Amino acid sequence: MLGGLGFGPAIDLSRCTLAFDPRLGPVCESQLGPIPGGGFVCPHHACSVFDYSPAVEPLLPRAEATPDATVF
Amino acid sequence: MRLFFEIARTGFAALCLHPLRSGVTICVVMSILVPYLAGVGLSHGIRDVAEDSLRFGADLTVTGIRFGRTVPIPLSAVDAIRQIEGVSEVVPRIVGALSLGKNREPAVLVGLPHGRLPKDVTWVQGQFSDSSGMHEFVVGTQLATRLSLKVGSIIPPFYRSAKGERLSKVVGILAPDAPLWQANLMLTSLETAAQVFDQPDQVTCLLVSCRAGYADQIKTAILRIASPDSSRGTIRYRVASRQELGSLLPSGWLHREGIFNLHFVLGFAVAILAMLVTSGAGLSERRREIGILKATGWQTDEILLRGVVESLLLCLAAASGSVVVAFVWLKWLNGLWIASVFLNGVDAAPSFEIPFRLVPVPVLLAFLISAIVVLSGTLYPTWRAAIVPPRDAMR
Repeated sequence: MLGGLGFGPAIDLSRCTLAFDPRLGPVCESQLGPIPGGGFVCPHHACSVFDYSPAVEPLLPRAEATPDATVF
Repeated sequence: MRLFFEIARTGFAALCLHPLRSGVTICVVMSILVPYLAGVGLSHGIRDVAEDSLRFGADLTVTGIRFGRTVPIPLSAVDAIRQIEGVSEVVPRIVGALSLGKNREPAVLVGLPHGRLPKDVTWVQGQFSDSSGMHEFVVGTQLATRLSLKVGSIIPPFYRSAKGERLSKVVGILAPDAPLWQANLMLTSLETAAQVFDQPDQVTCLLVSCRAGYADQIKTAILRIASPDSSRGTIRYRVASRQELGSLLPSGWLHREGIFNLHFVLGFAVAILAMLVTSGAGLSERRREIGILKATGWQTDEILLRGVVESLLLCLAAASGSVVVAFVWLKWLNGLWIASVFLNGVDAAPSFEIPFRLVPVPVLLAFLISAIVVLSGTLYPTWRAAIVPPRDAMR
């Protein structure tokens, strides 16, 4: 009906675009990876029954994805 | 063989002999298994919704990036992409976040061209009119409930725009059985969405439909296009294909963490209670019972077999009860409270149908977990009581 929308456990865009639909943004805005426990700041990545990696590598442009790390 | 069944039957008799102990054990095991089954059921339901979204979605979704961040795309990009060989359709779409009402309820505003807006769809109660002076919206179930919106409700201006603010009218409510993503949705025309966000001639993504076999070629062609954006520099494109999104599903599904790990930790903590109930609290009467059996000629292996049957029946009852309770909770109670635990942003009493699917593997796993918990609580104390002389066991 809407050309494909909703691909995750979130029901709005207020906290994590990635958890709502990775097509709209392939990176979790709340991801604080280098800080211990920083990956769990986002409620959808801490408390969800269904989640995607905080940075969806296949959807990142080639220049932004390296084999061992995601570079912003 | 007959002796084996006779001993097994006494295991069932032992279950009925201590109804309180059996009942407490079943309840403790169910308290671990029901949230687990509900969580896995919800997870499968969300996966089904995602698969439907993929199946009915566009072949390619194009978004713009600048400094590695998602930015709007000029509407002029539609014509550039439409000229690529193999492209059958390009639909501009606006998807944005806003908040409404005194409680700042989060909403997802989706704008589509007039011709793409749904008409006479069973999911929508009401429909867009062909001409109206007001902005028209179809709203999601949860948003409508939270803001007390009905078909025909007028929403006062909730945005600031260079073109001025106008009243908005709710012309439809999405049905509660529509997919999960509709909960906080506001669907409107592309022009209205652009005016609400005050971003004329810009869209957030382009939905590209391709002729069979052209998707990869078109993706490469789009990535080569650099879209000039007047004085602000160049926007590069990010293209997500249906295949790439499809590859995300299994990894996302398997990448469960957080609450599930917590549940397992909690589960094992509660399992210790189960062990205490079955081994500690009932130990004296179990020892006495085993002493009497040993005094009447029972062997240690026969007593252990009796204990195994008793435990297996207990865990079978607990696992079966858990499946029934999880189904009732998710289907008839619509995930009351438990859905809000697993899905962030959902009300304790969800106003839309919670997606779920109970599949055999988690049910079998539930049976296995309950068997491990109950057997570990029963077999060891039974064996300890069975190897001492009957006189000591009965003391």
